Amino acid sequence: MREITLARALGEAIREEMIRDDTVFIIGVEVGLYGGCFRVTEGLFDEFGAERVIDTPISESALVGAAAGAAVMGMKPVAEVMYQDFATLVMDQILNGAAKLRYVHAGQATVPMVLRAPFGASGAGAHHSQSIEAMFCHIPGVKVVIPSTPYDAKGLLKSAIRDPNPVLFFEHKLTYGIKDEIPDEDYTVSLGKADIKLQGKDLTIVTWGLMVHKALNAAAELAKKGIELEVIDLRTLVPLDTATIVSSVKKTSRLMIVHEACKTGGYGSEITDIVTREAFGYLDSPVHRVATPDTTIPFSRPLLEAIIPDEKDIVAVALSMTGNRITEVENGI
Amino acid sequence: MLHKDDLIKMYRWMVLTRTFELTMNDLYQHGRVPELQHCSVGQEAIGVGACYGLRPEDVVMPSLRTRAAFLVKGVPSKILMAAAFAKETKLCGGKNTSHHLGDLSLGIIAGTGIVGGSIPLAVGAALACKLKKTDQITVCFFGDGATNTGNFHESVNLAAVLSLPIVFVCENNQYAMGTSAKRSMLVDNIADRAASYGIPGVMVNGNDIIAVYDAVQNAIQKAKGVPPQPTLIECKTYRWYGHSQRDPVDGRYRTKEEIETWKLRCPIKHFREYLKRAGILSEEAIRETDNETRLEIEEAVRFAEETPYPEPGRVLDDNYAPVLEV
Repeated sequence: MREITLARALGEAIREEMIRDDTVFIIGVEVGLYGGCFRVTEGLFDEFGAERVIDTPISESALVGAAAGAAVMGMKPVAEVMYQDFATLVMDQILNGAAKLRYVHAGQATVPMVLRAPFGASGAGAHHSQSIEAMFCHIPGVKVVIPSTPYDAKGLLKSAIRDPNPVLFFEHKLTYGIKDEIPDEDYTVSLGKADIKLQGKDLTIVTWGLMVHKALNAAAELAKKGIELEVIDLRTLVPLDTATIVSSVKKTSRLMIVHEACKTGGYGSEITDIVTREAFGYLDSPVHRVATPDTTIPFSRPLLEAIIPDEKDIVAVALSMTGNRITEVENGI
Repeated sequence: MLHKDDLIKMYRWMVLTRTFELTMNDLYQHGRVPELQHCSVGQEAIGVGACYGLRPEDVVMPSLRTRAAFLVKGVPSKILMAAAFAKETKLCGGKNTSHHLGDLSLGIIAGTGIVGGSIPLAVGAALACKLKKTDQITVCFFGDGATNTGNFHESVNLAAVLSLPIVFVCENNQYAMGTSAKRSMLVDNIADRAASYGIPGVMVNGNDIIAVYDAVQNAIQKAKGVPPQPTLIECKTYRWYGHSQRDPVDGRYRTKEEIETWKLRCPIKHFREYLKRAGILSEEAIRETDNETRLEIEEAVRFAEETPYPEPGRVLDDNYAPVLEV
């Protein structure tokens, strides 16, 4: 076991898969010589050379489309877009290209590619702070993964690289520095399996990415008041581990979904729909969604803190849901 | 080097393509085929000339109007017709139109229906061939309209910078739907755009099948060079019919005179006259080719009509590949 950061865990996953399978290669802007904007691919250019760690011009659409085309021809590209905000530039290549190539070939084509992109509010302004994972969950043909811990990040990324489908792998920027002990030997974490990060009986929180940690902090706070939260880290948004969510809600009878993405059209509404159909009779409270209000993400710290869900918000909503306190619900929380 | 037999085969491919297109045009007007056709008549020399010299392992990314590429690369006309009829075929199983289907075993990648959107995918195919160190060439087709998209610019530049074995073939039929190239770009020649990517730009008469063949073969030599170099080939041609069958042949964006002038430059007639003059094709052989291709397409239509529709129970198949390895 070694303690490493999530960013390093991702780098290790890519490196080990590149050693394991010579069809794996990296393509993106500043992924090579520069070492990656967030240093995830650092060292790989020196180890594998320019042929397998391909720096491209700032041409996101071309590089992601090229990854899809190369995947169809038998390669396993790990493409990087510097920020998830920029993934809007490649939406056509994901939606009309990568996601549909297998279908329009009637199953003759496989598209084993990964597209990595950092996301989330980190004080980087309106165009480098968004959480738009729900947009991609709406595309049949792709899988969507968001890790929260170094252990999961490494195991999930390995599974994503080995998966025969396009996998969109989104990393919250504020999780890059989180440290965790991970095994020395090869391991994977299966896509499509949520992880119960904390067992509890009073209320289920379904969340992903950085919010997993905020939920766990809130759970520690609530435990002092005798309220036991169950915290489910989805890890994979598509395909969704419905069974884990539903069985947890049947146990706790209360569901809160926490995401940093803005509320309207957020993935929380999809989960709400599933739970209200599959566990309706078990619910003792309406499903609550704790999310960022529908707004552009601001730069200034006080503005940011006013809108991004945090431990206080989770605690307040949990208390209100468990009948311990009536809380004024503000800002779409 | 093309031999007599090659020329005869190339002629036949062009006639077959046209017969296919005119038949589909007629079928659509009589409500017998569901696919809204985007007719390639007038542009046959490009798909045939570019694909004729390719090997089975070479890769093509056809555009909306490169019907010939499918046929020359080996898709049987009856399968292509069945696809247009939205019937069960192994190519697309009724899941997409015949314009955007693929058969990887024949080196055809299905493009997207987004103008310019297929170009990045073709660049990726070329990248894969380079990384795998095969000597496969990718030929990517698109129209004049696509050269105004960001994907064209990004992709050609990326292919140039990465030194990929790819040939970009622009079928400049002078109209992107109803918008003349004159109204959408200020350069006279699309080939001139190659200069901004530091790669060769070649302009050819797209109605001259031998000129197209030669240009593509020369480009393939550059693509196989050390280091490989992409080429942008502009094939000047003309779309005889409307953008689709919902668009009249002589829409208000062009004149009847213009259409008639270009019909005089028919790529098939041009090549037939050449082959006759050269003593390669007799009147009898011409009649025979017409007859044979007509029968082949009639058979294709019969086959398409008799082929069953795909099973609705399989509609969700192929969105995802099964995960075999964990």
